[in-house]
Amino acid sequence: MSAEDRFSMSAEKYLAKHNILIYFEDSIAQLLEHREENPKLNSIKFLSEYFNALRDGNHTMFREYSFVHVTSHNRASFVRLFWKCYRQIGKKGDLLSVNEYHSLLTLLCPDFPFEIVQKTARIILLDDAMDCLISFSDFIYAFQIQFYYEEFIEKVHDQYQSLIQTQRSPRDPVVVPSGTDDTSIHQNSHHPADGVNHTLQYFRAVFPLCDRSNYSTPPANSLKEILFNVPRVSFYGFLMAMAKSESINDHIGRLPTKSELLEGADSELTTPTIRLKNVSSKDFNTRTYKLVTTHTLSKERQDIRCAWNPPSLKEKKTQRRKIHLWKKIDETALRSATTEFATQFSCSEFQNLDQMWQAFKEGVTSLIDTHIPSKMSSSKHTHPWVNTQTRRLSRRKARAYRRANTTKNLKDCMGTL
Amino acid sequence: MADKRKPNSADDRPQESDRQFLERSNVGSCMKDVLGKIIANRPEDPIAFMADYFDSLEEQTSLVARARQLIIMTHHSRPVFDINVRMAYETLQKSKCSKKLHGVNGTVYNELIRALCRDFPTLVINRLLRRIECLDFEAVTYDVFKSGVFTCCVLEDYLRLVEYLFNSLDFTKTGKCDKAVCDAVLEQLKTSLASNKTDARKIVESGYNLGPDGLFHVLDKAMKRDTHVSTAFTLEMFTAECCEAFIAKVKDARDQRSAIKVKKLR
Repeated sequence: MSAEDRFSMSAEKYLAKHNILIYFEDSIAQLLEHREENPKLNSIKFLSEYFNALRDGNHTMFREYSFVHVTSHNRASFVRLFWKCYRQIGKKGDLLSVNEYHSLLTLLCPDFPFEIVQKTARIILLDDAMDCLISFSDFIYAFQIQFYYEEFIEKVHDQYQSLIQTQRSPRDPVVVPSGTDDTSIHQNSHHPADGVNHTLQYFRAVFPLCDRSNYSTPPANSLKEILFNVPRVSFYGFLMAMAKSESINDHIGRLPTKSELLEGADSELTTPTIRLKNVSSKDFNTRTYKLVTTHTLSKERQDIRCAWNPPSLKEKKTQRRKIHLWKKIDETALRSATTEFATQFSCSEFQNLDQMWQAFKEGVTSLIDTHIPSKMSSSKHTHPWVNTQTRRLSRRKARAYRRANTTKNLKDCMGTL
Repeated sequence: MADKRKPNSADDRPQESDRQFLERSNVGSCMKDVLGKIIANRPEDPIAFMADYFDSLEEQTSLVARARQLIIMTHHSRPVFDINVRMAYETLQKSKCSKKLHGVNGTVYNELIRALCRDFPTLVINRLLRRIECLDFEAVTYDVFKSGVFTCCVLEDYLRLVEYLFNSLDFTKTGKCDKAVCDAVLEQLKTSLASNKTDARKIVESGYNLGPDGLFHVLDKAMKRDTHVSTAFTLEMFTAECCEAFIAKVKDARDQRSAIKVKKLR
């Protein structure tokens, strides 16, 4: 968009174009949600963190699908997040099934619909057998296309269908594809007659859909490149070509090129995109790490709440608890140990999920035990509201009571009253 | 004692409604402010803009940094720029000069100018400051302030254009240009800028001289004149030369003010 456009459009249009109001609403909703957990929240600090995460594209982690889906920025950030989290899978060269990819996605976004993963698989497998295994790099680019251009793909699909219809209608001159042409481009399809013969015609149908403002579309030039190079194309073939197109990937601008997709160590990732240049997987690590700490913290807070309850006023000796001193962490040692553990973990083989989980749990707890200094809570039961002064007073009261009991002296008894 | 402290802690106020919380923590007014600023300034990347805004709110940055942020919020060709500069001036007016005196003095002003120019080459900064710098104890009026800030912003654009021009002159892409070519362009630039007339015809003429046709004419001549390989120009040298032409046109702030003083004395 040129500068004139930006300034000449109305305020509402400008806000809508950048989805500013959506983010405003969401930031406030998040702020209020966090306040319930942590009443001493500094709201300005929270907002600053929120918008920084938003700028760097780290904001979609563990968010609900409706939010992840709502803007193109969120979608692209989510794809990138997926790539950052599961790059190890791609590095190992594992092939996963559609269901497995879906479970990976639900780890990042609890209510991620299966439908999109299914559609993604259809792009890669060219509408063929659905239970095939898919490599990570194939999946992520196809997933990007499907997720980012969802509306556009639907529209294109409609166009394609109508074009097929007209081709098949008896009134139109029937174009009989020569056998060689057909097989070279379209080996996998069930229906050999599938596919649009005139890519030019198809492009003409698709072209007006590009550069709309209400949903994101790939650049028309890239589509032209794709469609002008082949004599005929099927719908899923077209989508696959989009997924493979480097220029479209550049246009979205979040994932690196295919050759660089699996490169880079976990801790020092050189990110190629301009917008996300200050984001590395380090941020991701600290974020998960934060998550873990807040989780334990909220547990501790629950303990405190238990202590507040009246029934526990008169109770037996409290259990000694371990308290981690998060402030005194040697961060570099912890970080290096964590990365070491991560690489070791990703290299080792497991028979089943339980075993994997066991290994992971043991690793993390041992990391916590060795690298996070801790102390035990005192075995004496103390209420948080009892300070030195009240303790002194209460001891004085007990002493006076005991004295009155032993001496049975009236003066002492009066003193206790 | 312990009982007295209790009600103040936040744990004791679960009844506070969301609205009250938002009002207490001033979020509403912040949001209004940032939304107004976004609409007025229309930044290219509003998300980054918001992140910067809340960062600066949280960090309690110095007055100069805040003023700088206000100024660079929008391009100087926008009408909002005037308002932003005014706001920056008002922000700076809170700075302390002495125990009881608040206002914009030369120290603060120079600091701001340096902050605005911090990406420029040092040579250019020094030359520019020699022109628009104020003395440390001087009180800076709004007019002086505005012209200084405006000069910085225009110069920033100018530097970008100079770099662009150099890159297009550098057709071999070695980072160095032929001296003859550069000299020809610089000569043309200087003569066009040097014409001090307010005459409309003159302005149009210098505009034409700097246009593609005019430049082509000059370059053609230069190429014909000498064919032997002469010394090369680097980007820094070229920038310095171009900026000299620009800064020569900037009015000397000190001269102007002394002229005013002289008038007043009379």
